[in-house]
Amino acid sequence: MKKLTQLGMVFGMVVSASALAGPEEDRTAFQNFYEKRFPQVVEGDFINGVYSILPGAREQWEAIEEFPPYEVAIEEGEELYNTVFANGKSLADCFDTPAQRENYPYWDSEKGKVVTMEQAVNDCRVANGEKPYKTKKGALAAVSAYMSYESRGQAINVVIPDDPAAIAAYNEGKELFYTKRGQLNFSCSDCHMYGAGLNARADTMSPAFGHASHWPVYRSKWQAMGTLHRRFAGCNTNIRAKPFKAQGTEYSNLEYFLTYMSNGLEFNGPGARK
Amino acid sequence: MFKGLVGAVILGSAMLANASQSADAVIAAATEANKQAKSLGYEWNVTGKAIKAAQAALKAGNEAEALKLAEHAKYMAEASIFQAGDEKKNWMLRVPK
Ligand code: HEC
Repeated sequence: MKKLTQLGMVFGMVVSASALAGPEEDRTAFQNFYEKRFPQVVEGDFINGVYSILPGAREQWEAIEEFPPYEVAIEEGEELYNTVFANGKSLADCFDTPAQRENYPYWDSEKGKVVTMEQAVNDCRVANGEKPYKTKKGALAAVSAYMSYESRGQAINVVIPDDPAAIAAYNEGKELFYTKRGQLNFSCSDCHMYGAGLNARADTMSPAFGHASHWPVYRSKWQAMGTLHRRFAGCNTNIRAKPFKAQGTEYSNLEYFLTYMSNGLEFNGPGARK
Repeated sequence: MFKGLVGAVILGSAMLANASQSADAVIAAATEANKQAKSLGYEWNVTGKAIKAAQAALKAGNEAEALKLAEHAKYMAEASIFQAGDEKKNWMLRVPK
């Protein structure tokens, strides 16, 4: 009995230490997990999602990438980026360059929230008297595709400032990643960490390391482009959980956590996936 | 897992206790519980539909069917609340060290 209690205490301590570990320790442990699990993946290649661990499917995917299905979206996005609003301004006036990926997501201490690149695009529109774009697909995904394309090769380098509110947002994203939800009772980590490389129905589940690198994505299943938050919502729906709102606090914090976990990799969006 | 089972048993007996209630009352209870699950961020996407199905059955005058559907909806709403509480305590077990 005494032994059990001691064991319980030790276990409890280890657990609370990791739950409270700072972002940097989290990231090291997170990246180590995948590097140990998939030692065959060469450095930096996790940005290619499931294809980093599936050599067979990769060939097919590389053939698709030769005539990328997201090309139309990039062109459309460039046009929208330069389209003049009713007030004479445009998105181009809000950003010094379309190559913005490396600056997002970031903690905005004035607004007291995480701002994603897609949110910044919508904020720009609203500030200029335009309606915000819908947040999962369409125009916003196109603008995002153009900006991501211009940002290719930038380093993922999310900063979590030493500000309790920023750390709280990060921790909320972290908790969301590790909590089981929905009628099927799965966490993101169940599938994309402990289940990475295993099959869920017809799909092999990708490692979460690299998950945030390549958005938006042209997905064959959608026959269209979709934002990262569209994907989050899809994965939540699949386990029969009510998804959160795209660009709402929950998914923005999740993006903050998930992108930070991939610090050190490169942005390579837009992407193509099954 | 064990706790999950205990929870299911408790919820199961709560369901039996409801057997004498009206469909209307159980629908109201399911709706209330689902609201709570939502505020916790743990609403299941099947619960709202189940509540609607119960309401439709009631409207069509099928009280027994409505009661059955409502009890199932209430069970799911309560299970998602249980899940929220359980996860608050356990999610950190999955964080790699
Ligand atoms: C039941 C298992 C399961 C759960 C739970 C799940 N996913 Fe997925 N997810 C999948 C499958 C299957 C795919 C498609 C194959 C793949 O991983 O690329 C996918 C795809 C993705 C992708 C796209 C990968 C890419 O390379 O473009 C992202 C991002 C993602 N999921 C994030 C999440 C997040 C965040 C959560 C938690 C909110 C989550 N998923 C929960 C199974 C799951």
